[in-house]
Amino acid sequence: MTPSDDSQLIERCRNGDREAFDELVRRYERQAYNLAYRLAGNYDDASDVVVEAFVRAFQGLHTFRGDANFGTWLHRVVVNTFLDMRKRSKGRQHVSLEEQLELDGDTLTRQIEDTSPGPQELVEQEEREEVLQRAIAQLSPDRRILIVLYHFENLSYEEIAQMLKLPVGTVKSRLNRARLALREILEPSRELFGR
Amino acid sequence: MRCEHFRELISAYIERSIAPPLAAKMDEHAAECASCRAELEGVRELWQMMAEAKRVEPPVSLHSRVMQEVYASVPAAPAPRWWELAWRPRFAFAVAAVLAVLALVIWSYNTQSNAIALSVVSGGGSPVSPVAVSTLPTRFEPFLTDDGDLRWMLKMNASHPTSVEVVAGAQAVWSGSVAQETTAVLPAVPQGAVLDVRVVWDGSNVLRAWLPAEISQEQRKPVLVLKQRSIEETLAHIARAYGVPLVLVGETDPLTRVNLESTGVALDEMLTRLAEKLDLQISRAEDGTTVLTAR
Repeated sequence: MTPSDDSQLIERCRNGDREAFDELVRRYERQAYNLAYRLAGNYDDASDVVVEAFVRAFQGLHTFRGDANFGTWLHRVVVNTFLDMRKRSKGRQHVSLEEQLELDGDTLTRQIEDTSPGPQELVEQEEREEVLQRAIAQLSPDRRILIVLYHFENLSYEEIAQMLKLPVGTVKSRLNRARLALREILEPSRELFGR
Repeated sequence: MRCEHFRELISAYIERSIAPPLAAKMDEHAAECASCRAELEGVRELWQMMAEAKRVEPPVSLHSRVMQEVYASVPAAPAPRWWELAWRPRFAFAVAAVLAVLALVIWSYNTQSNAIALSVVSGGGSPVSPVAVSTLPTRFEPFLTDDGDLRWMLKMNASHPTSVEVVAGAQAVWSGSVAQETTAVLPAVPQGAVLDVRVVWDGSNVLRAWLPAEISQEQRKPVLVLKQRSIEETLAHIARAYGVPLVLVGETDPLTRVNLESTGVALDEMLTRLAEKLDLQISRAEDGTTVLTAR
C-alpha cells in the first residue's frame, strides 16, 4: 500500500466509485480498529467508533487534501469520532468505572472497587494486556489519545503535534506527564510487569 | 537536582535526547533518591510493555457493517421516470436488452433449483461509452449477519469498470462501480423482492433478478460473532442464524461463557465443534430436531 495507490482510490471515491471506498476500508480497518480499541477501552465501543469514523471519512472525503497521508487523516477522524461519541454517551452513563477530578491541569483518578477476577486468577499474558488496557482507560481522554498515538500507533512527536495542532514541545511534556500518570495507575499491579 | 525536575525529564532521559551533562546529573540524583529511581524504572518498564502489546483483530463482521452504514448514509437517488428516459437515445435499445435478459433470466430461473444464479450484466454497446459485457455470471448470495438478519451479496463481473445501481421497487439500494469480481453488500431487502440492475450513465436496465422467497439450509452460512454468551444464548443464536430448531437437554454450567467467531461454516461442522468444546452429545429427534444433551 502506497500513498499514491491511496490517492488513486480517493480520486475514484470522489467520482462516486464506492468500490474504491470499499478497498480503502479494507486497507485501513485493522489500523482504525486498533486505534479505536485502545481509545475506547473495549471491543464493542471500538467497532462503533470505527463504523462512524468511516462514515464520516466517506462523507468528508472532499475535505481531504491529496498531499496528506490518508492514514494520518483517518487517525484524526477516529480520534474525533471517539471524543464525540464519548461526549454523547456521557449523559447516558449510569455506572462509571472511574471518576476524573481535574485539579490545576493535573488529573486524579478516584478508583472504584473492581469486582472482576483478581490477578492470580487470570493467565499472565492476557492479564498484563487487560491490566494495561484498563489502566489506559483510566487516563483522561487527552492523555489517552497521546499515549495511544505515540506508543500504539507509532506516530512521531511531530506527527502528533501536527494532528493535534500543538507545539512539539507541548506534546513531549504532556506525554511525559501521561506516562507518569499511567505508571502510577499501574503501580499496584507492578509485580505483573517486573523483569 | 530536585525530584520534580527529575520527573519532568524522565521520558527524555529514557529516549537519550538530553545533553550528557544533564543526563549525568540525573544519574547522580537516581543513585541518591530511591523514589525517583523507582519512578524511572517504572516508566521504562511501561514503555517496554506498551511496545510489546499485541495488535487486536477486528471482528469479521466489521467490514460489512462499515460498508452498510456508509451506503445507508447516502440518500438514494430517485429512479428516473419512464418519460424522463424516453428521450434518451439508448432507451429503445435498453428495452430490447431488458427483454432479452428477461428471457435469459426466466430460463435461468427455471433451470436452477435455487433461482439465484443469473447471468449477463450488459446494456449493449455504445460507440461513445461501451457498456461492459460480463464474462462470468452475476449472482446473488445470501448471508446472515451476527444478529441473524438475512442480507444479500450481489456478485457481478464486468469487462471494464461500469457504474451501476441496484433498484428495489423505486428505491436505489446500492450503487457503485462494477469491475471484475465485484461484491455489493445490499441493505435489508425483502425476500422474494425483484431487483433491477441499472447502468447509471444511460439509465438502462440491464438485469432483473428475483430473490427467492426462501433460502435453503445449504445456502445459510452465517457470519457469527458472539462474545461472553451463556451456552443457552449461544445455541439460541445459532438456531436463529441457521434457521433450524435446536434443543438443549440436561444441565449445563450456567457460568460457562462462549466466545465464537465464524464465517461461512456449515451447520453440521458448527454443531460438531461446539459439541466437542462444550461436552455435548448430538442426536436427532424423530421430527428431525437436533438435540444437544449435556453429558
